Amino acid sequence: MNLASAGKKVLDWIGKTYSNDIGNLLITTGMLGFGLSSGAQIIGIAKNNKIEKKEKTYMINQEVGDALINILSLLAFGKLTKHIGTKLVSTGKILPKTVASALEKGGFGEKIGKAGFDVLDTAVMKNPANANLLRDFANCKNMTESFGAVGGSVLSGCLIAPILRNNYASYMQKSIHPIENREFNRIDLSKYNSANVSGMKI
Amino acid sequence: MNVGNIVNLVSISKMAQKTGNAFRGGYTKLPNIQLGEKAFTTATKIGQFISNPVGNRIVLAGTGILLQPTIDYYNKKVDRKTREVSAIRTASKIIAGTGVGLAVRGGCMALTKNMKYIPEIIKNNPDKINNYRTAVSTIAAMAIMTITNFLLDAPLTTKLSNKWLEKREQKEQKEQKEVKA
Repeated sequence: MNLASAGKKVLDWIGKTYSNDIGNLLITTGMLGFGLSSGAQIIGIAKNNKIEKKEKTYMINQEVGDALINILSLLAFGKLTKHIGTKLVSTGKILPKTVASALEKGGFGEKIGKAGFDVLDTAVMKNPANANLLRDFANCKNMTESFGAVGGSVLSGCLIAPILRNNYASYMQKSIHPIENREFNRIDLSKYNSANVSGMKI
Repeated sequence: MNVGNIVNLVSISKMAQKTGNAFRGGYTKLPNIQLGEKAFTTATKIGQFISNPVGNRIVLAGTGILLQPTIDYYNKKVDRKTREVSAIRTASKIIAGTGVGLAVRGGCMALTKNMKYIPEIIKNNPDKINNYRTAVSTIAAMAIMTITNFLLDAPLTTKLSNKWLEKREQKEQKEQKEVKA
């Protein structure tokens, strides 16, 4: 097998696997990206001479926590929010007007938007003459899935992961550098007290 | 299994059934949304933008730069200096990562935009071709970024954060001098 035909096989596989569903790819590459990025950043922090040892411990643990929590929460939230996106369209909660009108005309008006309803499991959508409706439906499903997958990434990567990773990193820092932490607190407290005392002019 | 266990199992299954019914009832009560032609086209375009590698990066970076350094800065479980250094490094990481990420992803998207090879099974479906191109550029960008993460992102983050830290240190020294004076 030469390089060109191997390349074509890879492209065929991509076309077959992801041309219907781009949301899954976003989640997979997002997870890989988090892992790789954190690996690179850990090396960068370890090599950085301008950061003190105690802060390095915190930030390296922050990166480890970042990668682990990001991957886990992206898996949980990304898949969940993408699934919600799929369900919203498959039950008819969100639909293009073209599809909704056709379903209403076909006698499914009462069922649209109900939890157990499946738009694709109707005579209207199974009719080969309605290929344009199927295309609109697929586009709508792709759109809500994308919103779901990206929304999940934002929620997990920008809110949940930073809060959890900071808790993990501060716990690790305190268990690795307990003495320095105590000293830091004492210095901070003494500064605060002396400033108060001088301010009060006792 | 004794009678108590059976009673427990029955009550758990009844509770699950009730929760399921309540969820289905609540879901059905939510209003249905029907998208007119204009709204549907706009929503589809936004969906395509946020799922392409460049748009995806912009959305994540935009929300990331607003939220992540703020969360780091207000983490009261560590001392003030660690919090500040960590917020500075997080912001630097997002800026460097977004810069390199956008360049790589943008380049890959431009390359795949006019890609001649389209798999036979999707040749007659423009929507699937669009998804296929996005997928190819996302995978290509991912492959390139395994290298740029180490060669560009991390060193750039270090440089940016060190500059920022120097400025912070200078400011702190100035403040200390003023307090002493």
